[in-house]
Amino acid sequence: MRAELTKVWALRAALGVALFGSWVYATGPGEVSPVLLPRLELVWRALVGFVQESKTWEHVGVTLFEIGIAFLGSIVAGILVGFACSRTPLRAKVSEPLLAWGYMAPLVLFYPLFILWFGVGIWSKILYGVVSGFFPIAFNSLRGFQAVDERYLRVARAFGASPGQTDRLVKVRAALPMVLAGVRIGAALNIITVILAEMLAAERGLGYELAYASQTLQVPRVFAIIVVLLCVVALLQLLIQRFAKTRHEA
Amino acid sequence: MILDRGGRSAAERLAARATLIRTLIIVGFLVVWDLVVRLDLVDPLFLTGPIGVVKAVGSLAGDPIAREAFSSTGISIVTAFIVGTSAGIVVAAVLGGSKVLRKAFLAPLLFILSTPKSIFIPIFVLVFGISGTSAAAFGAFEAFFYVVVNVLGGIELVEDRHLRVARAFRASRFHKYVDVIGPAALPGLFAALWYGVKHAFLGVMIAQLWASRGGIGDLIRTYSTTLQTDYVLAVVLVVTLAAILAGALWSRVEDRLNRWRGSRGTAVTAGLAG
Amino acid sequence: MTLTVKDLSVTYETASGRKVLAVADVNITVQVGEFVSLIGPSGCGKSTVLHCMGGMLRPSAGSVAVGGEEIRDPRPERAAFIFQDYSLFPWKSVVDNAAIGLRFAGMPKAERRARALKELELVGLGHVADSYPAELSGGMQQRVAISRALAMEPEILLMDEPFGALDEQSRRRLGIEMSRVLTDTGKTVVMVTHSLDEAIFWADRVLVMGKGPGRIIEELVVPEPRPRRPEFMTDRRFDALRAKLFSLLEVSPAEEPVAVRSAG
Repeated sequence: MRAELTKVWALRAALGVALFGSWVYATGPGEVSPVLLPRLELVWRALVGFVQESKTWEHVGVTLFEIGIAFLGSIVAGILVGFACSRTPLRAKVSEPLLAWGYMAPLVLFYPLFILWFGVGIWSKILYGVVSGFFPIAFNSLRGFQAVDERYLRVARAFGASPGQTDRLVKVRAALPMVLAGVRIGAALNIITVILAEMLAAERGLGYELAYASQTLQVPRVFAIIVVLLCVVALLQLLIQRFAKTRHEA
Repeated sequence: MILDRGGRSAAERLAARATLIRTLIIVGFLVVWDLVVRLDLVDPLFLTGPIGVVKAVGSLAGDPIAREAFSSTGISIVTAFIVGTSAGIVVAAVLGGSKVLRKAFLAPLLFILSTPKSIFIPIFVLVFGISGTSAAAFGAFEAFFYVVVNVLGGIELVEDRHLRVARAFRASRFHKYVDVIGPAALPGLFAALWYGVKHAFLGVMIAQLWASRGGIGDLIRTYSTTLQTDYVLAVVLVVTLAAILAGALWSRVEDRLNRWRGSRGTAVTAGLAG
Repeated sequence: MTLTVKDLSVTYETASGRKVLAVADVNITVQVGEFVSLIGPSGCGKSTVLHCMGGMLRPSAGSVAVGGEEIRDPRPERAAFIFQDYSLFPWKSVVDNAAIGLRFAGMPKAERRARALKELELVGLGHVADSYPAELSGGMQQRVAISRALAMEPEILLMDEPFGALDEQSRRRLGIEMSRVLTDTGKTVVMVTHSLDEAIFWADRVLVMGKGPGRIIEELVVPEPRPRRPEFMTDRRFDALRAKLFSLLEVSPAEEPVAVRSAG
């Protein structure tokens, strides 16, 4: 076990060394144009500079705000719609394909319409994020509430639970793992779409900064912003993994 | 099963009613959309009615620039799919062969899978320029991760007890792969191909929307900046319908492929959307 | 050919690197055509011994030989396995499952199918040859697994709790049927079980294993010709053997009453 763990980290380190090694080689003796690949220390300097700019934290704030509101919006809308649709077999039958189609649609293409309708400000990003996160959450909630194990419902009936108690204490609890699986997918989509939307057309936010740096060919800065974005995403992922999980899930 | 006079079961009647209601919902949506436009509730610059959109689809089909855009995007998608999927399968086969390699690199792969890969587009544009190549390269990049993870998911489906039978009955390495590992991992491989197509397509679209000359992304950008909303909606409608159709077709195929499994093979792909 | 297990010991390493002696100094001789059952509490290493007999596991010390030739790798044409969980390939039809060992051995398709079909008919499954495992009941699936082993025409059958996953009814029915088939074909059989009834009803000889480390603590001979009629189970001699076995497993250092669980 110990030996295996050492091997795992050694392999990861080897990949890291190979990656950065070839980077250093390419920008040094490899003579790759600095416009394509800047020297590592330039990226580092750009990163330090970027993190120290007071504007940067405003941008981070804007991006996080948009993702947060989009997340809340798609959770509320998704779970409500999923629950409402699960109430009768007919409703479930009607809505399931509609939600699945919404999930399959390439939402990327709709973004220009969001810009057209809601402007380049933060609301087009938030609404776009809400829509993208909504479908997987609603679809999974529908499936979750619908597929509550008959045995649990039988226990509830046998022990005299009222309809309200059955909903609160049995259905919602039993559906939770499935709903949360939807929430995790939805949250990932929130992050992906909001950042993409910022890159495509925006006035503020990290995605916008990345697009701007790229269009003005500030290459080290492009790499620096990518690093910051990766850190922000990793942090959000950690939060999701930590909280969007029930205790009885493995 | 309780049958009605027409000989249909209760489940079939429910399905028929559901289809009817669903159709009514869609028709109702189209009617509301049409009324909103007809009654001038929104600026016609920002929204065209459904009939206008259908007309635009017609004139798109006759427009050589649009046709060129669709075919060049198509080529980029096919290229992205072939490159991304083959690279993905090779990497997955290598990782699948070794537990230690899998342990070392699956977690980083899953992390990249969950990040917005669009943040890497600027690098692709730097390397490949604003061209079909950079869109195809980004599509391949996007497809690659989904293919690796799904093929690995397929390999996870291979059960120890089946490998034990292979050993007890002296299967050669060839037979072990052809008769045991292959068939058991097949759902993952098919899922990988589907996700490969899907994300090659999405990747190319995203890259083209961000920066490109030619292609559907460029088309949409041009139409939307010149406020030709009917054309924007027409392109979006055509591509969306095609994507939904392909998706529905795939879930049919997947169901059929996994029939012997008794349950649907969705376990592999669950949670990998995006 | 005689199956001989000589001074067999198996040591394995736990995840934390600790060495555990699973089986110590086991000696068994199984004569041609003999049916031997191996019974003992969970974790006494009875499956480990069986796996060594089939070449699935290399002994840490001692040896396993068939007719004087040492067994180091699985050789299904000599000793074929029947596993508790059937382990049929769900993507292959019943007949192809029964023929899988022959396919691995390189036999042409028509020939191996004919032979597999013959074995399926022997266990009463000729009519489902083209079905898939998922369409069969547990009892039928285990019969397919038995055909798969018989198709190799082995001298020895190694059965690892072959009826452990079945319900009482199918377990008894299949047991009686198999007892006939196995006696008719004159196979040498070693069966691991934790059911007292099974161990006695089937076997010429019952080897009782104890735990910590796994070793053979007693040997009982069942003096009744095979195949046996179901009434044998209500016979006084059966009861006496069962009582003996029960007390042996009771006093063996087993923490869980596993030997009693599947009795009946």
